[in-house]
Amino acid sequence: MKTLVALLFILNVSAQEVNELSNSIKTQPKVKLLQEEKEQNLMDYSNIKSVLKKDGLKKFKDKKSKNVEEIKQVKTEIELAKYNYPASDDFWSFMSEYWLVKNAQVLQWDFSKPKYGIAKAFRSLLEQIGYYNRKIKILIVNTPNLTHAALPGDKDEYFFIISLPFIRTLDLTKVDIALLFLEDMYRIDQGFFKSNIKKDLSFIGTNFQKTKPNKEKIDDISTEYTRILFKDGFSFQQQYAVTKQMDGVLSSDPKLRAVYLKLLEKIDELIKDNLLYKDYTKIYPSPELQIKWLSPEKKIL
Amino acid sequence: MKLILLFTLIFGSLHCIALEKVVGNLYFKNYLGHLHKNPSRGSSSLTIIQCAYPVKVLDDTEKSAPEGWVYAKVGDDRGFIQSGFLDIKRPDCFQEKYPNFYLNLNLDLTDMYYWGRLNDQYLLEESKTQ
Repeated sequence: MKTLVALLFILNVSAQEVNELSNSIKTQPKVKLLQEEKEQNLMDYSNIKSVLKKDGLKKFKDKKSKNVEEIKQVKTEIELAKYNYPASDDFWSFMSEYWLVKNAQVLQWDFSKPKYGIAKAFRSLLEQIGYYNRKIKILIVNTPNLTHAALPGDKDEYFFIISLPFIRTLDLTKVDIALLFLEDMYRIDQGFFKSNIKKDLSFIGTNFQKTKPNKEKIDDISTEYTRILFKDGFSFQQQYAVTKQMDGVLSSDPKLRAVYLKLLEKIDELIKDNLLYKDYTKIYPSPELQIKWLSPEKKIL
Repeated sequence: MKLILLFTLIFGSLHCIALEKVVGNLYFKNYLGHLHKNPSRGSSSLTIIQCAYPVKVLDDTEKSAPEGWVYAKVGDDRGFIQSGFLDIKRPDCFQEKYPNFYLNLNLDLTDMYYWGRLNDQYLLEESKTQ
């Protein structure tokens, strides 16, 4: 009897449990996953993606691949830049020095000489007028064929040339030389030297990776330097502009202006008397006209 | 006899080491230049130096450099360089910036010699900042 009661009780409880279980299945559709299923789900790409997202690993990965792309691009740019012609900022100092080197024998600049204080005098003049941060490189040449000149350099840099025979023949003072250099500097500043180069300059700063660099272009410009400095020089218009600029700058200092006028007179006299300097006017036309341009106009009453 | 020779050799090299001391490692900053035999611009060249070439500045009791010059070692050569041509930092050189253009110039030894001399012959100045 006891056994029967116990059996009935158990059956009753089981029935209740079965009912509860079926109810709970109806209300809770989620099924507890097996370990293998969990592992399988982990292998699922979308789940990995969500895990990575949660850990910030995807962000890290994206950043990393972006960095790699950037580095690749910079490397390509660096490699490409190795095949560049010098940019305009680097070209002119190189070009002027190249011309000086290639014409070392003609110009005869490689000889021992004292410093003469020319550079300091010119620096003082520049500072007095108000030109600051100008890098000056002066070369004294031992030939009368090139009396004085300035060659273009990189930003605020100038190459000045002065002839020792010219200095001696005219007995030029440091101030005289400084004034000649100032004229030469204006020819560079106003772009006259570069504009007188009649060869192609468009290659400057370009890339030649797909072609071979053309050395002829450099030699062509070097030939133009020679033509300008030894044969054709500057035009009357260019000379007028330079002389007027000199006039404007020196008008505030009558003493210096008087020195400049005297210097032009000395040169004018020299080129008329000395055959060695007869071609001076071809390069810088002409001291006689410059004096006229500087002299005040006479008013006719 | 051999012993005497060996002794002289060892003593000689020790004497040299004792006389000179490296006091700085600098870089040549011009395009091209020269290591001079004597501290003067017209002095003969011992070797041509390119931009960014490392230069060991020496302090030698027997070879004192006048103002504006340093006694230095370049490779195996010892000589004089104008101090204004040296820099503490490795300079940005034209040759390195435009390597293929520079190579294509095919500068010969004479060109390189004159380019170095050019820097010796310049009278340099810079107007001050305002």
